[in-house]
Amino acid sequence: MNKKVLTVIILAVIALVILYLYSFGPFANRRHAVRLNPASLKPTARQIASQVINVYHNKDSKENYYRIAFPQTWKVKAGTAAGSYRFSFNAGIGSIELVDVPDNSTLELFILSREEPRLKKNVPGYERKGFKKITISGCDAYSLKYASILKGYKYENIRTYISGQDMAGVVTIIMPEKESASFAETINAVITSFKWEN
Amino acid sequence: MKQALFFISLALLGIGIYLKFFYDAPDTAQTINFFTSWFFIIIGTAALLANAFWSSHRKPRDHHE
Repeated sequence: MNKKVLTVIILAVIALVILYLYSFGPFANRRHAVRLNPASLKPTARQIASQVINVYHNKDSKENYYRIAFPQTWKVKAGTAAGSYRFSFNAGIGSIELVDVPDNSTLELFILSREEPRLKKNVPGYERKGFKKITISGCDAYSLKYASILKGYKYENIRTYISGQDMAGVVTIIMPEKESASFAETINAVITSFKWEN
Repeated sequence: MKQALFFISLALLGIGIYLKFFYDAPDTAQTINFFTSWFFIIIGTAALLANAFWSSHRKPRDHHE
């Protein structure tokens, strides 16, 4: 075995050790560090009818840029993952996130075969209230409504999946069941304001 | 034998590049896809280099055999 071959083998072994450390070892969390774009948290205000809305242009994840509008009174902050937000309003809370739909699946199949079983397992008192296909800004979307129970109170959950080129956008809104009727119009306006901007 | 090793190395490198840049791994398999793709790329590249360097250092007496 000559010196060059030996060097190649040694370098390959070192590279594999580093790869292991970055995959499963102590440096694995560096790979998962979220790269949030500060521009995603700078909304532009617009006046629509009597209400002022803040339009957020999310530019965290390439190929998955989108915009969404919230009433100015809603509190919005960055989520834990790239392309996500957490928000709250006086009746409830919600989130927006990006989820990866496998290439060998459709969005509908993904919701019914992966998401709903996961929700059934993790959400206390899960009870499906409705599932329908809709269109949001020209994209196919699915709205999953379900009830949940937390500390004896019944909540209504609306989870809307919007298909995209790369990932799907998921808007989740949770509020007490008794408040759902009075906020239905505002919530619908927020969900339908979602638009991909690639 | 050397040619067979060369093609195996090339195949490993090709699989690694495919997994890294063209395969859409689900969210739950991102870590294993990261490890597997780079593993194939490193092993494939190292095998190709070792193969190339091995031939360039043939002993002189080999030519007379």
